Amino acid sequence: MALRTAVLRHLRVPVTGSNQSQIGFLGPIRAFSSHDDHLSKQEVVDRVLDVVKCFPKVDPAKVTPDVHFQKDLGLDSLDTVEIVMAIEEEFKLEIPDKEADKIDSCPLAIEYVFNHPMSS
Amino acid sequence: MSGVSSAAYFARRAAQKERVRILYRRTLKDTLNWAVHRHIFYRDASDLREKFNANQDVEDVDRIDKLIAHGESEYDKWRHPDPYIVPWAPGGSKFCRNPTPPAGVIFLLNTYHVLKFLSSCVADADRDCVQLRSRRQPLILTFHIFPYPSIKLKHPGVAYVSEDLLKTFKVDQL
Repeated sequence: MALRTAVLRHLRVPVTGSNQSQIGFLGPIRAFSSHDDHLSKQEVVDRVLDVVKCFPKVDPAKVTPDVHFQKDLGLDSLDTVEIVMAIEEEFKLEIPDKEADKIDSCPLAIEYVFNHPMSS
Repeated sequence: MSGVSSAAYFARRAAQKERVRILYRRTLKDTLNWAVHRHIFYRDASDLREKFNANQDVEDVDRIDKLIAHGESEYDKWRHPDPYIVPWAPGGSKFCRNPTPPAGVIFLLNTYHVLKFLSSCVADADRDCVQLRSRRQPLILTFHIFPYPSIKLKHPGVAYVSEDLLKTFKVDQL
C-alpha cells in the first residue's frame, strides 16, 4: 500500500496552466449546439410587424412597434387572439393561454417573444 | 348598493370575456389541428369566427354563461386526439431531448483526445510516459481531482473534466 502510494507519487505530475488552451474548447460557445442562438431585437420587431401588417383587417400604414391592437388599430378581442396565434406560428412558440390573453399590443408581443428562450 | 352590484356585474362580464377569448383560442388551434391544409383551415376558421360573431351582442349575463358552456362542451367534443405541439414544449417530440449541456464541461470523445489533453497538462519529463503506455495497451485513467473523489472513466478514452477543476488536476495510472 505504501509502495503503491510511493510509486504513484512518483508518477504524479504537476499541471502546467499555460497549455490548457491547446485542446481548443470554446468556453460558453459549443459547436453544433442549438441552445445559444437567440434572435436580435430588431429581427423580432421586424417579424412581429410583418405578421401584424399581413393581418387582413389591419391597415399596414398604421402599424408601428408601439401600437395597441384594440385601441390604435381598431381590432376586436378575437382579432387579438388571432394575431397572437399568428405570432406563435411565426416564432414557433407555445404560449400558455393565460399569458396569451395578456398580450394586447405590439410592444408586449415584441417583449414576450424577445424574452422567450425558445423563439426562433 | 348599486355600485357594488355593478362592480360585480363588470367583474362577471370581464371573466366571461376572458373565457370567450380562451375558448376561441383553443377552438382555433383545434381547427388548425383538424384542417392541416391552410386553405381548409382558413375556411373553417372563418366559419368559427362567424359563429362567435353571431352571439357577440348578447347582453343577458346568464344567457352568455349558457352560450359559453355550450361552446366549451362543443370544444371538448371535437378535441383532436393528437394535436400539434411545438417540439420543445411538453408533449412535443423534442421535449426533454438534448438538454443544455452543463457549462464548463469538456467532453473528450476518444482516446486520442484524452491523451492530447493530458499531454498538454503534464510536464515534459513525463509526457513520453503517458504516450507510451497508450500504444502498448488500453489505458484506464483515473483523474484524482481534489477535494472531489476520483472519477473513473466508464469507457476508456471518455472523460468529463470540469474546466475550473483543471488547476487541481492530477493524473494517476493504474
